[in-house]
This record gives sequence, structure tokens and C-alpha cells, in this order.
Amino acid sequence: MQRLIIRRLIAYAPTIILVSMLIYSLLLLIPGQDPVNIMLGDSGDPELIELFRKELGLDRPIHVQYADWVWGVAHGDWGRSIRTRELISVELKRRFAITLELAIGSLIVAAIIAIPIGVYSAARPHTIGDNAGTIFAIAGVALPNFWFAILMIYLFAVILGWLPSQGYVALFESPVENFQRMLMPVTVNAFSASASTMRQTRSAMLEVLQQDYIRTAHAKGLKEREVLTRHALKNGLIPVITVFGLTTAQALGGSAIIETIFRLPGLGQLAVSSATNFDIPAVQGVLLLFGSFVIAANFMVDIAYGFLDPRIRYS
Amino acid sequence: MQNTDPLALRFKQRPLERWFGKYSILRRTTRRRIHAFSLAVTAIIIISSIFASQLSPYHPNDTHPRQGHKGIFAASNETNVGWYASRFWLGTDEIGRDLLSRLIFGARVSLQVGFMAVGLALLIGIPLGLLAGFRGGILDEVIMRFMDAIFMIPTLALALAIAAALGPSLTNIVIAIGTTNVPRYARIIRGQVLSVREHDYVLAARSIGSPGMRVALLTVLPNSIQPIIVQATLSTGFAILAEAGLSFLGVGIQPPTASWGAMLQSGYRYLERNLIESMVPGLAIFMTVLSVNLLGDGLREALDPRLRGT
Repeated sequence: MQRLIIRRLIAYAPTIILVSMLIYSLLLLIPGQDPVNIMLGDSGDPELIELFRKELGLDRPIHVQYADWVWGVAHGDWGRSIRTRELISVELKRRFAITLELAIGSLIVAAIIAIPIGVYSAARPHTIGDNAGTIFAIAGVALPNFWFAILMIYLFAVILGWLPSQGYVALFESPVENFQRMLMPVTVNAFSASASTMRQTRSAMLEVLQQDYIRTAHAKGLKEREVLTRHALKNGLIPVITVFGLTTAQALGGSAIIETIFRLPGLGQLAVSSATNFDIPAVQGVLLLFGSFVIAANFMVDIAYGFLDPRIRYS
Repeated sequence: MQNTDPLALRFKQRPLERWFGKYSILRRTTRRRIHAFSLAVTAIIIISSIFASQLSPYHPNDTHPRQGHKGIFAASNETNVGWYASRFWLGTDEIGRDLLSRLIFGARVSLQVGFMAVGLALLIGIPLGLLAGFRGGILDEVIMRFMDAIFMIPTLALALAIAAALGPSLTNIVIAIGTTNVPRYARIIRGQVLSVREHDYVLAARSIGSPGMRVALLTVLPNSIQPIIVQATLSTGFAILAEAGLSFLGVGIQPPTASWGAMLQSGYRYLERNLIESMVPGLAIFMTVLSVNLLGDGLREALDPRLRGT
């Protein structure tokens, strides 16, 4: 097990470095490669421009800038936002919990929606129920989450008035209000992430249900329910873990739209508001955090997979 | 001299037959009703975006004073315009622009971005995947690590950042969405190439002295391309969705150009006042992406004989 963990850590090292390089190189994409011009406009005071360039370190070669940035990030200095002049690390820390709650909530809700439907589809393939599940999955992929969010707001906030449509209340401040305000965002975000989990559950369970030991379980007189939950599910859910990395990325990417619509002051919203204001350093901060989350999720998937399936551990 | 061999005659397909005959890709794709339906919907959307200027009753940016927030079938205040332009069939937005016209012109933007972004991703992804799979070694390692790294950043967030850094315009949106899709194709092509290059016909091509480049392009690539066709169709749907999302967030297509995402954004602001303004673009995005995805499904079944009958 330890060897597996070390092996995976080594395997992910270059990925982490490449992700950080990729994110840093976003600065190169800015026309004229100079965020200062965008900040100050063409009429910028030359002295001010020089000052900004110095502060951002834009007067040095790119590899030095990158090394400096990495060094800073590793030591908790993520730079300052161009727009608000605030420390990015402080901003990220403040918004971190909201996006984490949204993402974890979405992953849990997605699993709660997707796994039972997937298991049912596999147990009764090619029936009306299975087809309904397929339609649900296809619609889940095609339904724009921003439109789904708007429809939910219209139904539950405008017409029925059951749920508040905007704003955030911290979990520790008032758990009830937090639940009310997160219910819609989490559901919407979970819906689009549930499709892939469902398809994966269905195909993995279909495969397991054809195995000999399942027939044996049936033959010794177990009820179907017991065969499914006690025997098939254990092996059938192992491949489902692999979509966890993918759905984490989906849930985080979705947070940009979800948080903007529901006015949740999280990381996704920061990415959007910074992006619309050319505040690239802040966007980089969010992307770096998102990238680290996804890498961590993939790492955990690898370890969990090795833990559950010994064949992986020893290969 | 005419070929009179009956077997050869039987298999000699006329051009029409190849496209519309019983065993054509088209027929096999549309074997199931849902796929035929999705092909029809996709065709309608493509045709209406081509003939947008002919089909829309008004210019998409024409404003009608005192005609804002009209519901469906609302009578127009224009006079002498014929029956088609005498009504706002799908209502108007906050400054009295005809939603039907904007919807039709929005289709043009969506499809343009969808096709161009996928085209760009193919243009970069296929050579990279081919190179990685065919050459192997350190080059393979470097390319694929790089692709993995792109995969680790949530697609929408990355596209958002690229679009923001480049500045919002149609071309830059295409670049942003296209780039985020590159790893998908590189991975598929590489996987295909790895299995294809083991075949005897590749060995044969090599042993008659074909240079590596020629083998890669003329022998390996054509035999690796099939899964790409399906994936390209599916990711056209994703690209349309991404464009709408970015435009909705304000970093995509800029006003006053009609795009579905931007229409939905302005409709959302007046949600309580006029629901139809949010319904029209939202439903359009949903139906388009749904039918393109279903079409991809149909193509997959047509091209992969193993899936037939499942």
C-alpha cells in the first residue's frame, strides 16, 4: 500500500508542475502580454505603469517570473489582485469554504441520484425503467446548468416562494438557512455531474451481474435484493470510483456558473468576476486551487482503487 | 469494357446508393426513430442558421420602441410588413428586439463556435496523438503528460480564463473552447494508434520501404480515425454548451450580437416579468445540444458493429 502511494505521488509530480506552468502561461495570452496596459488603459501614467510592472515583476524574463511565482505560492504569497489590490491568498481563504461545500454537496447528491438509478438500470436492462434512466442521463448532459438553475429559481423562489434564490449564510451561523440557500445550487450542480456516474454504475453493474458468483448467489436461494446489495454492489461500485476525479472537475467548473447565478461568494464567482475584469492573477489563483483539488481527487481515486482491488496494488 | 461479373455489379454502388442506400452511414445512423428525429432537428437548426437573414422577420438588432417585454404572438407596431412580421412570434426582449430573429441568428453563432472549436481541437489533437502514439518514448511521455495537465483544470474554468486573457470575441471563444478539447482527441488517437500500429498491414507498409511519415499519415491514421468521428459530434454539443455558458457569464460573444447565452443572461434579469425571454434561448440550447448528442450516439451505433442490437 505504501509503495502504491509513493509510486502515485511520483507519477503526479510532473503533472503538478505542468499544471502550474500552464496556469502561469495564461499571462502570456494577454494581447501585448501586458496586464498593466489593460488595467490602466492607454492613457496610463508612465510612472504608474512602471510601478505596476515592477510590482508584478513583468520587467524580468518569463522563466524568472514563473520561478518567483511558484516560490511565492509555496510560501503562501499568491500575489495581489489587480482589481481590488487585496491579497489573493486572503480572498481565496475567505471563499474556499463556500465552494468546498457546494462541490462536496454536489458530489454526494450526484451519487445519491446516480447510483440507485444505475443499479436499477443494470438489474432490469432494456425495460421502461432502464430507458427512462438513459433519457435522464442524456438530458443531464445536454441540459445547460445555467438554464436549469433559472428554471429552478422561477419555480421555487418566484412562484412558490419556498427557497431564497440568492446569497449565502455560513453553515455554522445558521445550519437551517445554509441548507435552504445551498439546496438549489447543490441540486443543479449535482444533476449534470450525475449523468456520468449513472452510466458508469450501469455498465459496471451489468458486467458484475453476468459473473458466475452472482448466479451462485441466486442458486442458493438469496432474494434478488440481497444478491444486488450484498454481492453485486461490492464489486460493481469499484469502477464507479474512477468517475470521482472527473465529477470533481465538473463540479468545480460548474461552480463558476452556479455561484454567479445564486450569488454565492465562492471561488467560482471570484473566477468569473476577475475574468470579466482582466484580473488574471486572481483567476490564476482560483485555477491553481481547482487544479490542486482535481489532482488530489485523482490521487485519492488511484489509492482507493488500489485499496479495493489488490490486482492494481501489485502490478 | 464493362464489368459483367454479377458479384462485382452487386457491390458496385452508385453515388446515390452510397449516401442513401440501405447500408449507407445515413441509413444506419437513423435506424432508430430517436436518432432520425435528432438528425432532423440538427438539420433544421443548420439550415435555419444558414438562411438566417431570409428566415427571420426582423433584423436581430432592430429595436422597437414601446414594444419591450412582449409575450408570444404579440402584435407588432410596424405597419405594412406582411403577415410574417406583423407579430413577434416569440415576443420581444427589454428593448423591443424580436426574440425569434435573435434566436435564429443566435443559432448561427452557436453552430459557428461549435464547429470551429471542434475543428481547432481536431487540428491540434490529431497530430499530437498521432505523434505520441507512433513515435512513443520520451516524446509520447511529454505530450501525454501535458494533455493530462490540461485535463486536471476544470474545462469551463480554463476556457473562462483563456477567453478572459485573450479578450472576448468569437475567434477567441473558439480558441478557448478548442484548446480545452485538444487532450480528448490526442488521447483517443494515441490509444487507437497504439493498437493499429501492431497490425500486419502496418508492418507490410514499412517493409516495402515507406517512410515513417507516409506510414503514419496514409496507413495508421485512416485506420485510427473512426472513434474520432463520434467524439467530434459529441463534443460539438459540449462546445455549444460551453459557448452559451461563457456568453451567459459575459466573457463570450459580446452584445449586441445575438447569442443564446447572452439572450438567456438578459432574460434572467427579467425573469419575474417575462418568463418567455428565459425559455426561448434556454430551450434552444437544450434542444440543440440534445439532438447533436443523440446524433453522436446514432453515429456510434452505425460505425461500431459490436453495438448493433444492444
